[in-house]
Amino acid sequence: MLRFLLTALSALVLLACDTDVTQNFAIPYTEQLVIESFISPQDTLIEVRVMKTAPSVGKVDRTVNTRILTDARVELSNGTNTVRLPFGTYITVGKHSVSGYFLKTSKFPIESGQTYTLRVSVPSGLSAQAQCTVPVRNLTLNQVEVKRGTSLQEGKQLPTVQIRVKDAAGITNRYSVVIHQTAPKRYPTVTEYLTDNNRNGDWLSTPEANLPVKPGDRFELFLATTDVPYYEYNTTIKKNRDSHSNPFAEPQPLYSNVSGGLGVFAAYQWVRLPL
Amino acid sequence: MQLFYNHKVGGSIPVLLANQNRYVANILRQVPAFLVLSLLTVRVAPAQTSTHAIPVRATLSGYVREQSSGELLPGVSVYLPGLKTGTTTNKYGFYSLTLLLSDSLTVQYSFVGYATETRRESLTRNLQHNVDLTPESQILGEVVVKSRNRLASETVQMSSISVPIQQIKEIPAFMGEKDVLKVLQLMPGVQKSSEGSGGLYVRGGGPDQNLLILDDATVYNAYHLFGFFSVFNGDALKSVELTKGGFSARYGGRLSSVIDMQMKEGNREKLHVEGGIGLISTRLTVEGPLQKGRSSFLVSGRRTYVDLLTKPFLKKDKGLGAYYFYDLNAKVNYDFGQKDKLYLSGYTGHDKFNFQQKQGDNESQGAIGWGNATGTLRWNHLFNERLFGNLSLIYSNYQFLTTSQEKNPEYTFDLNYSSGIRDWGLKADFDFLPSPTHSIKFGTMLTLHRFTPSAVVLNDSQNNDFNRSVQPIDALETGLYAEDTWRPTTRLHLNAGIRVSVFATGWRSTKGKAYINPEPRLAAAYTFPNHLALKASYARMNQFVHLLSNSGAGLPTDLWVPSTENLKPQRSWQAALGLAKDFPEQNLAVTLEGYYKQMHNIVALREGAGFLLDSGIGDADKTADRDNQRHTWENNVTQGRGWSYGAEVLVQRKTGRLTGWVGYTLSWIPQQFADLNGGRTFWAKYDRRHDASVVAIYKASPRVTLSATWMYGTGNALNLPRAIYPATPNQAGGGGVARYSSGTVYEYGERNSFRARAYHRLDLGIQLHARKRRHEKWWEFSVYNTYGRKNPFFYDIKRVNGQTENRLVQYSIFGFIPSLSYNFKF
Repeated sequence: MLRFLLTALSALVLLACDTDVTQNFAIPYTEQLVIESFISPQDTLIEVRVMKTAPSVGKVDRTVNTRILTDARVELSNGTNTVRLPFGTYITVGKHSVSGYFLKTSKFPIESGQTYTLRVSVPSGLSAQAQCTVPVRNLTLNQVEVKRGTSLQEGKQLPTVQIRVKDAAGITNRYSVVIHQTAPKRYPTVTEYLTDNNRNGDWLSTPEANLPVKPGDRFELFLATTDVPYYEYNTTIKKNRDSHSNPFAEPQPLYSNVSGGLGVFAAYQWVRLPL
Repeated sequence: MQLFYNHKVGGSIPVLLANQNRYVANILRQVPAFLVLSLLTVRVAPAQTSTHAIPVRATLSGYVREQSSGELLPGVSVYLPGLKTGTTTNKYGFYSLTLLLSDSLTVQYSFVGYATETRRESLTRNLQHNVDLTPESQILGEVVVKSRNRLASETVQMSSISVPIQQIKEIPAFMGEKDVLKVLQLMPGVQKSSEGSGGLYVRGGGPDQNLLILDDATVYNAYHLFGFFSVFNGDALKSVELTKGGFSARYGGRLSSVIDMQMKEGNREKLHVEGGIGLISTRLTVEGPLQKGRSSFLVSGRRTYVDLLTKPFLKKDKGLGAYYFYDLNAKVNYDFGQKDKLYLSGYTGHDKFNFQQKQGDNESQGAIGWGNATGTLRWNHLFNERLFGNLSLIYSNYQFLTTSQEKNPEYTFDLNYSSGIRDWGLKADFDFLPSPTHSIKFGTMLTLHRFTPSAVVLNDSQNNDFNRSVQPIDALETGLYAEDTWRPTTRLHLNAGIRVSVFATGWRSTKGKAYINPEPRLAAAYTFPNHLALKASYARMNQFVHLLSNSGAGLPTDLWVPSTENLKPQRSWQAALGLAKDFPEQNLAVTLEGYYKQMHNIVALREGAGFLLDSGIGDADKTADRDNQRHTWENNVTQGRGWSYGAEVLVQRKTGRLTGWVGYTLSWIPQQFADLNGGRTFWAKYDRRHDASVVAIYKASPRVTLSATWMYGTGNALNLPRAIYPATPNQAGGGGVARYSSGTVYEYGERNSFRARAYHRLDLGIQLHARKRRHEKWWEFSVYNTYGRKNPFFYDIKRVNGQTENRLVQYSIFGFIPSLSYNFKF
């Protein structure tokens, strides 16, 4: 009897019930273009991805994450010259096949300090545009410190690495630190984004990261000076997804600098160091 | 010397004055153009002597107590019908009236729930009269009692609500647990947070902006079980008063409300026991004399017992889990006589989740616990008939602690996480009552806070040990105040006050910061004939401590932090205008108030910030990153502005067979933060256009009490994703094209641009009393959410129909919940 009472009580109190209220809420939806493009003087290729939004409720569009619009008109301008990027497919160094709008930087160089405008339109009438300026300065080696150490993990002492960057004082900077494993397989193992917000001119550092050490493993360190849109977009993507899955977290809107649409058009400069 | 008879005041009261010029000069001196000046210049007529050593005035003073228990009664109206003037007892039951000498003075002592006591005095010298009031419940049915309670139209205080403790005990409650804070949620201007939670949103302010004080001690986390129950035990309380605006200068430190709770002292006459057994908890209160008439004690406890009942059915190898909470209030007092009284009171309450499991050689256990402890030592001293003082030494401590241990022959793991706030305070308050036209209060408060935002200690035999604690932060908060309630005419009441708040922190580091803020307070009331009063008030407030919370539900992880160099104090000003109308024949009071409040530097979590624990325990296995200071709570918060304006109506009946109230609030709460919603203004989460409640308690017979509450509120403003789209983070060096971690992201549009469904609910209750000569017992049956309304708790987008469709789903937690309890007292 006691058990029954307790079970009944628990059932009454603890079982949340759910109600489909889709029809009670007219969630407004307007289709928008989504642009993603990150340009750098050190890259060999300019890539622009053009996609569309899908409504948050209703039939699931399973292609939303992979569907690149193929019929967009994509133009890039440096204020003097304007070029059109054709749609195509590219095989990455990591042997991934990707689709988008591509142009080799040898045909349209991306230059330090230059402002670029990206205009995108599709036959259905949607259009969007965005602007970004390539950071003037790249990192120099004396601004970077690689700290190596060990950490006890699962009963074993494993090597760790921590990257420190001396911020250039007097100007606003954002940085990106990526450690790529290059062999036996190419893959980014560590990605961190750093800001000098409230810390202008200080040393900024990544947390200590463990690096797997198997014979034959190779790593490269890519350090980038980025513009603010690059930093904001990349850091808010994870927060947007995390906050959506936590009913108690404040939702994180994803950064965008695209007018008439969503997404980002950002610029950065990078250097490579062996690790 | 001339002798005047002032026929406007009683007709036969001698007004003895040296000359008429002095009379005028006296009046002018009593104008409190500015309160501090007023304090210095108010001319106080000597109690016994004039300049010619002829007695002119005398003081009638004393304490008012409950007859059966000797409990001191605050807020009792002491009224002189002949002079149309009076006063009220202070929070320690003391009153003082300095009057012109009179052979025949009629004094009425009245208080809600008590029979009015009328006395005739001959005031020819200073008199000390302690008065005992008889509770109506003891004489109901025998004598028709006509109480003349203090009317809403007679006080200068506006935006203030008091609920008789007896009413709190009669209102149906969630799972039968009587809850002071949930009753306050039913008042206009006060809104609840989420379903079941005791969190209070007062006139657009967040739960952090309420000052909850129990016998002068601040209670920092007022909730058990994730906010479903409050920590205040009605059996141990004597009075509860909520102030939403027009704040007295005595109070400071929060922007939106003061909830002042006084514990009972304990019965001085006889041993009294009260208790009850409910669905989830059992409670017991014992009070009685230690030395009859001089000293008494009270001990009151409550504990949930589900853990004890389920323990025999649980097996350790499958994991033993248990949860309980308890509250313990205790108070002792000693009465040294008319001049000195000493009180020592304390509260402690804790919640605890335990878990342990043993499988073979593996042993694991963990616990999450949180709780408050408060202590107050108070000394009342009567300096003379007109000057009353109280000195309090106050302690308050809130701690949250999580532990986790795992052990086997190869591996040991031990994690401790804690956070908290601890206060030591000293408070001195004085009531100076020079004449019925002036009531002057002044005093000071000094609190030393110690904040421990988070401390993590991890001992791990297989991984790096970890020890990170944010250094405890000490802060000193002080307040100095003075106020005068002045009645220049029988129709006009004025209250002018000023409070100077000072907050200093960081004196041990180079980032020390001190804030000094003056807070003027002003209130006025003009009484028209037929018990109608027009009231207005203005108050400026500052708040130096902030609560970091993203649920508003009173979770134990909510963190109190101080103002710092970067985190500015919250500031507000509020103006209110209202009408109060009493219908004494019907025992009805109607108040209508409009208010406008501006808030600056209010605190919100940054977009994307989750539980603070995520950046505490979640990162415990990482080495502290001193360069980036990733874990500082200051990085998680942002400050902005808020506005709150609206109107409230309250129709309240405190005595009679049918008591209760009807309340309605119309309000708007916009906010604006540079870092939120792109800097654009948005509606606060708890912006509710309409909020209404009806509370009715009907004593059908001495044996049967029926009660009902119904509440309605516009749905919360909330965020819902409008669209989804793919996003891919870029990794420099990917060779021009990087393609990792592509996934769906959500587009929300304007912040809080959707509305949850409206909230409404009906609760019913019946109490069946059986009274014997020496004891009383009663059964209470109540129903929460009688018509099973599915009220929203939160919303989510759920994939249904074989993963082919996204639907918007509303989650509700409490449906129809009946409860039963047995109660007794003797």
